[in-house]
Amino acid sequence: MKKYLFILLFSFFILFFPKIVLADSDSSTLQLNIYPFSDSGYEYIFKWLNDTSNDYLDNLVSDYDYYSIWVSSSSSSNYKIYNVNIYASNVAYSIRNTYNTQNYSYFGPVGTDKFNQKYVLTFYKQNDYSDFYKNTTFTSENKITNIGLSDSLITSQQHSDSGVEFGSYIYFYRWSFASDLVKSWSMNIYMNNVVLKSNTTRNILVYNNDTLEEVVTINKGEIIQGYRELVLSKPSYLNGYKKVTLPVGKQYTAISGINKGIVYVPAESYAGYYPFLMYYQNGLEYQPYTNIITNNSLTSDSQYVMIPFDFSGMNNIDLVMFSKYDYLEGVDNVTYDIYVPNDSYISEVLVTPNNLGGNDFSFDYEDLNGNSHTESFSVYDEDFIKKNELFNAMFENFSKNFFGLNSIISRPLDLLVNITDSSCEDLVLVLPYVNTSITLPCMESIYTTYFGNFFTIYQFLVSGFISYWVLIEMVRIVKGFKDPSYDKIEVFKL
Amino acid sequence: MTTELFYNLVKLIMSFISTILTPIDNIILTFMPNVSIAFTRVGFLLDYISSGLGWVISLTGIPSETLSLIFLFYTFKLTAPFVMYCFKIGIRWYHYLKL
Repeated sequence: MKKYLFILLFSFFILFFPKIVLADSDSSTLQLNIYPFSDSGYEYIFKWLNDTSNDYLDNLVSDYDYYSIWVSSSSSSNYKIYNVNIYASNVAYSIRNTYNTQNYSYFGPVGTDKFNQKYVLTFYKQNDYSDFYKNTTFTSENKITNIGLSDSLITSQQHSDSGVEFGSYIYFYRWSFASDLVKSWSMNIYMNNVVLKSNTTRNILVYNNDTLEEVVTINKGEIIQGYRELVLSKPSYLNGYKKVTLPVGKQYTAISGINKGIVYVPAESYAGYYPFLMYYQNGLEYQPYTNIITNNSLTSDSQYVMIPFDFSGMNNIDLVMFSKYDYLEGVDNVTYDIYVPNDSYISEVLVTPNNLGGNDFSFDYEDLNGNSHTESFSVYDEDFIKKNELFNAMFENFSKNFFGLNSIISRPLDLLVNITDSSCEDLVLVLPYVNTSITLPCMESIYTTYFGNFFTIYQFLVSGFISYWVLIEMVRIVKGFKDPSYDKIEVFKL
Repeated sequence: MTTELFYNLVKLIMSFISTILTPIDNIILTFMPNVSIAFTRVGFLLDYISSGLGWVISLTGIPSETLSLIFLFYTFKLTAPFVMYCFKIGIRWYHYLKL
């Protein structure tokens, strides 16, 4: 029976999923897997842009370099994007996806917290600007990084227009290479085992700065491998530069007039520790730039840690602080390189806070108007942060491929990991041959509309039964702990 | 913490699986590329099926709080015995060494 079921499913898959692009990766490459549904009229364009002069982008990413991968089709299409994995060094990313490239419609920024090194991926519909895909967050780190998007986060997109060039852009917004310390930076696009199964030859166009660099032609059944490396230069907007040297200890520098920029922190002085970045809003308390604190883990091969910051949109920013702690053995001074926009007004005052015990500090300072203030603040429990980072770091270097047997066996586990992120999305079923689709809406709103209180009662009863079952099982497990011979470890069965 | 432990245990298992299977997958890919493609398509099929999981859950009408309860229960079920097991091993070792 199982054999026939497998054959049935396999045949279904072969019939309805006629083309595939597979990608493999190594530890220093970018991986993009694109999976198209339809069998007609595709070409894949990997288009890399580096142009901040366009108005339509200035509204969104005026302070960024951006790089995009453009996946398009020359006719109406349905396609799916899997597993955008980014491998690069010393970069911070945002990813955005839209389509209808004909008129360059861009539907808003990726997310609101792209400066916090947790980046939000948002996909937008063409017409109503609503989210096309669900949002997801991921973390960029200052080292070779794999930003993996869960398979379950990506759903199919489709449209029925024809005669218009459609595509998807995935943008990588990168903070800056304003430093002379970083001579160049590179990103590799690695396409491995790209297999085209349609009858028509397809091209992969590789662009850099809108200049077509190379056309990679794929014939049916051909397997290609290759990668492209981009060497990027610093963006022009961050030419302001300031070098701040602080003695080791609880020393802080307060720099006014900056609301965005980058701090370069020499990694060798900070291995295992966390630079702090704080800001002050006039009349309010200093506040730690939380995500920067918690997300900067260093590795022994890192040269610098880049800490992008942006307080745009915050009113009355009076002071920005960069600080560090006194955990550095054998280091007398640490020099920060701060890169800011050209028109930034910079003034600096060095302050030494008073340790109030524990993680509480206070310091005196003068604001821009010459008024004296005393502020106190608390910092995070570094031991906890360090332990958490070390704990997570154990698992960061593991990788897996997304093809072959592994793609089958790891799917249920992937699903298990991602199940908490699952929420209902309209289920779109693409019908083959007739080029149409069926959309199954989420049922909860329908239940609520048509069944009202009965649905509430149903939920109440179901929740009750499940809660009861959970309770019974919990008691059974806890009772098992008392049995010395009880050594059932169910996680090993996974 | 337990959720984090659970996630990372699963990730670790996945990594082990990947470590074992990647050379085999590469051999298949090199010598039998069509078979490798077929395997991958099965993986995509499973992924495609799982993409409808959210909709199926909505079809059942189970509230999200209850789903969270189920997930938390399984997190406990899969992690607490493991912690207890490690604890018992530690005690056994202690007694053994003490003798």
